[in-house]
Amino acid sequence: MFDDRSPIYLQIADGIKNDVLSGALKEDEQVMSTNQYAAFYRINPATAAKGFAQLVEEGVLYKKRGIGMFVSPDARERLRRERRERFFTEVVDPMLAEAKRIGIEVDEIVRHLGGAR
Amino acid sequence: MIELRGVTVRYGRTVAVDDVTLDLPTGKIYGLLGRNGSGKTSLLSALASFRRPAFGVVRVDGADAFENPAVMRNTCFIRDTLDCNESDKVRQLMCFAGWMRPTWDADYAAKLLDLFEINPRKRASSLSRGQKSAVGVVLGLASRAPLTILDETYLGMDAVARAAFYRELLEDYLAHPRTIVLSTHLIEEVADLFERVVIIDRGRLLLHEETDELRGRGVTVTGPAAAVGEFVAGHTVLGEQSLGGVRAVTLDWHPAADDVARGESAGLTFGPVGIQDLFIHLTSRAERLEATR
Amino acid sequence: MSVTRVLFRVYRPIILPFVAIIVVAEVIAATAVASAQDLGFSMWLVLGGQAAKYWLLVVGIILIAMQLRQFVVNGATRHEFLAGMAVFGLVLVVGWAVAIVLGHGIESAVLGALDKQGPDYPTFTAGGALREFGQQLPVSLAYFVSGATIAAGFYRWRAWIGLVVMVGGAVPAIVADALLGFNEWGGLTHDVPYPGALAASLAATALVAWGLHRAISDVPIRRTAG
Repeated sequence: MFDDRSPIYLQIADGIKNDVLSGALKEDEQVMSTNQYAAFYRINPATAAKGFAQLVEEGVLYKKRGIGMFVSPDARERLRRERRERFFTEVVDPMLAEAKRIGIEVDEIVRHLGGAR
Repeated sequence: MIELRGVTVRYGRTVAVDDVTLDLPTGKIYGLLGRNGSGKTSLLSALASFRRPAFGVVRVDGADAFENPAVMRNTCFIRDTLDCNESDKVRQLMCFAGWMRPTWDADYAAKLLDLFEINPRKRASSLSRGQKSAVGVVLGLASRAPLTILDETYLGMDAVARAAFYRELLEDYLAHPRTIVLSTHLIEEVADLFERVVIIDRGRLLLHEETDELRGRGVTVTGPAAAVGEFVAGHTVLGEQSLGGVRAVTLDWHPAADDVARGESAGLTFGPVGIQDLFIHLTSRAERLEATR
Repeated sequence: MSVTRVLFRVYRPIILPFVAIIVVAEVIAATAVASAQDLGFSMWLVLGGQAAKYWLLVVGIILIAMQLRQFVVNGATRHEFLAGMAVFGLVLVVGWAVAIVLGHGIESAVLGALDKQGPDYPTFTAGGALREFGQQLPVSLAYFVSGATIAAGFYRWRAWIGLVVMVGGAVPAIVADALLGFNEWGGLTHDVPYPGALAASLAATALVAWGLHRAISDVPIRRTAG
C-alpha cells in the first residue's frame, strides 16, 4: 500500500488529494477517521493523523468538532489549479530535457502530441 | 512518560547496555531495533524491572519503577521462554494472568487463542516455537497492561500468524491505547505500526526518531566517481560501493528539490533508502569503524 | 488477587491429595502394626511430622525456583511475592502443626477405644498437645525457610556459590531438628530445655529468612529457573 521511500503521511495526503481530484471524494463529503484509516491501511494512527493534519493545514480538509473531517468545498478547484501550475515544471520540462539528451526534436514531440489529439 | 536515565546493565564484566538515556512518552507503539547481541533484551529487562540496572534508573510518571508495585502491576514483559513451568497447560497460564492482572480480558484471550488455533489444554512443553510465540502474544495483548513489552514475540510464527499478530496488535491498540514496545528484526513487515523507532547498537542508543522521519531520510547517489565525490562532500556517508568508474554513496541526508536538480544536471541519479536499508547502514557502520580502529 | 490467595489457588489441588495420602498411609501403617501387636509409639507423630517438614522444604524450593518468576512476570514485585509467600508458608506451617496435634488425638482415641495402646504409647493429653504443637511449628517453619533459601542460592548465583549458600540455608532445618525434633513418643530427643531450644531455633530461622529476603529483594528474573 505504502512504500517506505518517503514519509507515509505525505503518501496519505497525496492519496487523498488524488481522490479529491478524481472526484472519488466529493466536496463536503466526510473522510475516514484517523483510526478507521489506520485500521484499514494497517498503519500507526499517529502517522495517519499527521497526514490528515497536513491536509487540514493545506485547506483540503476541514474539521467539524466532534464529528470528523470533511473535504473543503473549494478543495478540488484549488488542487487542480496547483497541479496545473506544476504541470509544466514537473512533467513537461523534464520530458524536454530527456528529449534533448537523446536527440528528439521538439517538432517531433509536437507531431506525436498532435496524434494524440 | 517513561524515562531511562543513564541505564547500564552488566553481566559480570560484560556491559550489555551502556549508559542509555531515553524518554518514551506513553501511549505510543515503539519499535526497538538492534542486531543480535546489541542489548535489546537487557534494555527491556531493565525497562520492565526484571533486572535492576547496575547504574541509572527507570522512572514511570516520575516514580522509580524498580520494585514499585503500582508500576509492576501495569507492566507486562513477554519473553520468548514464556516464563512458565513446562508442565503448565495454556489454560492455566491464562487463569494465572487473570488472577494476577486487574486489566486482564479473558474473553479476548480466548478469542486470540482461537485465532492462533491453540488448544488451551496443551501443555507448554508440547507447544511448537511458533505456538509459544503466539501464546506470548495472547498473554501480552489480553493483559492490556499500560506498558506492554514484547521481546521478539514472533519467533517461529509463520507469515500468516505474524500478519494476524500485527493486525490484532493494531486493532487492540486502537481500541485500548497504551504504550507498546516491540523488539524485532523484521523491520520491513512491521515498521508501519511503529510511531517511533529506537535503535540500539552495542548497548548504546543509536537513534530515537519518529518512524515516518526515517522514511526518505537517507539517499543513495550514483554516478561518475568524481562527480559523486564532489557532490557528497560534507554529508554523513552511511555506505558506499564502486564499480569501475561508477560510485554509489548512501548518505544520511534528505536532499532538497534543487539539490536533486543540481545533481541530476551533473549526471547523478538519486535513489531512496528504505528503513530496513537505513537500519543496516546505521548499524553496520559502527562495526566498520570498529574494525578500522 | 493477592499473591497469597493465588498461591492457595495454585496449591489447592496439591495440598488436599497430599493430606489424603498421609492419612491413608497412617491408617494402613497403624493398622498393619496394630494387628500384630499393641502400638508402643505414635505412628502419626512419626509419619505426619516427618512428611510435613519435608513437604514444606520442597514447597519452599518450588516457590523460589519456579513461582517467583511466574508471579513477577504477571505483575507482582519481588517484595509482594516474598510477603505473600511468607503468609502462605505460615498458614501451612500452623495448619500442619494443628493437624499433627489433632491427628495424634484421633489416633490416641481410636487406639484407646480398640484397646491397642501399648504401655509406652504417648496417650494424648492437653499438655502433651501443647508441647507437640510447640515443637512441630518451629520445625516446619525452619524447613520451609531452609528450602526457600537453598533454592535462592541457586536461583541467584552460580552453582558453586549456590552450594555454599545451601550449607548456610540448611542451618535452620538442622538446628530445629536437633533441638526440637520429635522422638516417636512425642518428646524431645535431648535435655536442652524447651524455651532455650525454641529461642535458638527461631533465631536461626529468622537470621536465614533475613538473608533470603536480601538475596531475593533485587534478584534478576532470569529466563530459566536455575
